Amino acid sequence: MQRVATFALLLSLLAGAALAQGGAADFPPCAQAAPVAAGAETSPPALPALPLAQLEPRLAALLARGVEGGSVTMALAAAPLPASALGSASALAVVEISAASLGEGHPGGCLGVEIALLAVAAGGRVVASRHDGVAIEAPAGVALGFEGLRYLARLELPPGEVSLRALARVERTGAFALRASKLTVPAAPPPAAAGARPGTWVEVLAPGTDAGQVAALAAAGALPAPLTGHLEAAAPASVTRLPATSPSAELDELATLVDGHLAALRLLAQGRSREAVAALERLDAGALEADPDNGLGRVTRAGERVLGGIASRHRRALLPVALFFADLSRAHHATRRTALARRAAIAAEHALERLASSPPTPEDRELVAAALDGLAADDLRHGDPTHAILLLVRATELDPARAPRWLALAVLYEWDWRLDAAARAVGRALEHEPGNREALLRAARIARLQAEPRRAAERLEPLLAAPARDWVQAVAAEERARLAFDEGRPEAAVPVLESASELLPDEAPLAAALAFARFRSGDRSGAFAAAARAAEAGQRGLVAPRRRYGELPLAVLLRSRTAAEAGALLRLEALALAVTDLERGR
Amino acid sequence: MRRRLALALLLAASFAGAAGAAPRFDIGLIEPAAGVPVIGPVRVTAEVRGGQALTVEFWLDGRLVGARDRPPWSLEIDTGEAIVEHRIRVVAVAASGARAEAELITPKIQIDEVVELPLQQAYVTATRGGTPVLDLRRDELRVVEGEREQKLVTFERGDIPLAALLLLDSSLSMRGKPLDAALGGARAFAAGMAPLDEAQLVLFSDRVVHRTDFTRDPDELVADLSGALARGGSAIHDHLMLALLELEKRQGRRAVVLLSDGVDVESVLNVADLESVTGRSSALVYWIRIREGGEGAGGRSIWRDYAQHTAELASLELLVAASGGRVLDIARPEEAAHAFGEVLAELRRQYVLGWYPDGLRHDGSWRPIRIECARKDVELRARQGYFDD
Repeated sequence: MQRVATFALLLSLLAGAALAQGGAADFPPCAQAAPVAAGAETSPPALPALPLAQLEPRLAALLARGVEGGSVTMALAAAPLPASALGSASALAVVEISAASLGEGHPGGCLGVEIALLAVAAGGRVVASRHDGVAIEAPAGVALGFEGLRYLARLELPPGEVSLRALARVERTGAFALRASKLTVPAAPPPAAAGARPGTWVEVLAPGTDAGQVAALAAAGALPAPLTGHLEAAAPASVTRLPATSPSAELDELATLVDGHLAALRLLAQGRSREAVAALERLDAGALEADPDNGLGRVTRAGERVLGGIASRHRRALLPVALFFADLSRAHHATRRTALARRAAIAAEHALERLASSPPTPEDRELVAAALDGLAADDLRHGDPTHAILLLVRATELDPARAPRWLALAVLYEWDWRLDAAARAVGRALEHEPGNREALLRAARIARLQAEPRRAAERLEPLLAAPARDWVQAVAAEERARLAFDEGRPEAAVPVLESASELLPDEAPLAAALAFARFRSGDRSGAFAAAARAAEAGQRGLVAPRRRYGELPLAVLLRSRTAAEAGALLRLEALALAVTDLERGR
Repeated sequence: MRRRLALALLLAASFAGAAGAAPRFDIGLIEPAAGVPVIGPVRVTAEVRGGQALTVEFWLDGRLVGARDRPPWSLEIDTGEAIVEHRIRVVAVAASGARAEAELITPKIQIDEVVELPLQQAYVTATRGGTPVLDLRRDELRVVEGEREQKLVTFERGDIPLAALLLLDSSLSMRGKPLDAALGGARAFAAGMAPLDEAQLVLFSDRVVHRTDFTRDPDELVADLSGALARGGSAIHDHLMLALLELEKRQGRRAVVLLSDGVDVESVLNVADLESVTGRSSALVYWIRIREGGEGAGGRSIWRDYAQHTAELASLELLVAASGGRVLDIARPEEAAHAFGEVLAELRRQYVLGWYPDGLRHDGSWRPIRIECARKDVELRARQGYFDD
């Protein structure tokens, strides 16, 4: 068993949950660690009436169909447990999620993960399920300081073969993964453990799971070991070298590359997205290495040919293909093959544009827009906010009713200091969500920068009148104070800052602004008191509200991408048909 | 800044000097001085003679307020807001069990009449061709406010005790070598402190990440820095304002020494706001600016565009100059220690001029100060004015 490091962790329905070492009582609870309903149900009549009511419908559909996929690095394994005295059979499911997946875009603080398990017997009968929330208090960034999360849960199962499915979803980004595994209960002897991945793991036992039983399994070397490490190590091991090209061999080369694309898409259609990406990554790299002058053009043409074929016959399949190219682009970025990364991103964009103009169904429009959000997130990560803006503008054309997307676009305009455009984007967000606090704040701040202090004050009014303990409140109070300072009336800022400081005592900038306002108002002792509080508060808070205001909208875009990924998985059948058709046609 | 001095009649000023001393083991009070009323935070310093003390206890008005188990035998105690009589006692205990104590009764004061005498002070650095000029006489310096020469009432030079606040940027851009070098600079400053100097160390990013109390103990100033981490954005203006307020509570010559590598990206306050604070403070502001890669660009953030950042940087430079301090550009973080040493040396060589300004209107207007030197080729640097509140 690995040790639990210094991360606070809270499992929903904590009673009965046990940690391998240390106790939950030592950890402060995460602020957003609201438990998710858990429960085991048996024998619901048929799919898709799943006993997982709180799961997103699209994810529930994926779980019901058992389609493997998603962007989170995750593995699932299961082992039957010895029968109880009552004769009921059970199994232990182990889910591992890598820290790298969990930490992506994590700003520090509470990190929530939702885990759903579903056991389906022959005939599609759901025989067991559970749905848990896990919250981990972790530092910012991908390197969370531990290997990952290992979740262990006991499921009561009827004898026979079951298909066990696990879905994990990261709360902040919405990124998810689904894995499936076959299991026979009661078992023949459990599979030999391949050895747990070394390092520090945050380990969680789901409520109702016997820690002693788990420890006994571990001692016997029979604890299922999903080994996410194997998955992460599945990166391309070697580069496929293509033979040198002569002009006469050009068509053959292109045909080889088209075949390579189709083979990768075949893997994708089978739910083996990692292998598909790795295969095409090798093919791309090999083509470029073999012919640095023409290789890029050739893989581009091959990709376009495949895309064209899919678009003409199976347009629904364009969505998984687009997301596949986006994954490929990220893989190339990771190995610093920038040109290939760019070509893959362009292919993804082309695939989406073909789907959006074919003409699209309402669902197509929504999913394409969500996928464009994902591409925009990639652009932001790679330092291309201008292109991210273009993608978001297109996304808002296709699916204009989503306030978070308008807000994301507004943030990018603010960073680009295109204040008029930012004001319009925030205005659209407010059309759809008139009470959106962040939108009101941004509208106020933009108005102030546009030298419209009265309008800025009006926008701030509802925020200050209905205070909340969040970063928006802190920045709103500072913005109101800023207006007062600019008017030369620091005394007008004092009550606003006093109320906000009282509400948010850990926010040092509020206390600092209050110290200034009091000093300028002639209240020196009050200023000293507030200054002392600023220094004290500064040693407690986590992410500063002003920093949060300036954060790139990665989280909202990644959440959106997740929706597209779920939609894409539901279209893998269409992709399988498309690939078959294209292969027949060659 | 303006000081309100109370002309007061000292009434009952009684003093009990050092307690009867044992032949071999004794303790005496060095500060506060006898016969002087005390208010607010007061530094109590004792001297142990004729042996080594295991501990020294500090008592105020019959209450134990602190103890030290190693020299310096010094502690800051809070004597409250009222100017009343206080009984300050120090008790030394030797390893042998021998005890010695000393007591001081500070006087209360009775105020018969209050007259506002806003003493203004300026700390003046004099150089000729970059070399310090250390032998100026009182009659060679002139203070002019507007067009009116002011009558100097105080003139000091040399090593006057100092209250310094070392303000180190520890935002993310300072990660690694720059922060290490900044901390090295703070250590160099601490090592150069004179016995009566006091300093506070503050590390900040978008919040205060580490701070000490004001201390005269150089070791205490730079203790526990091994865990200092660079993280977060940089809010220079907010923390410079807080530093200036903190210094307002100190006595004597005051200075902020800011070390930073970049632009302010997250402050609520702008430089114009800061001017209204520095213009009411006599503290000098020094800015040790790390400029790796030559001229620093203004940068860009969601809070200010490139032009605004550039303008703010220029304004901050002007503000530093207006305080009487200066900007010290260093090309590499490793030069920080030298820069801190340079600041400390400059502070030690300053002249302190004091005067009661005439013609005050208390209307919040800006009163420019010009300091002139009768000696040729001597360049003077001092604060450039103050607000007439």
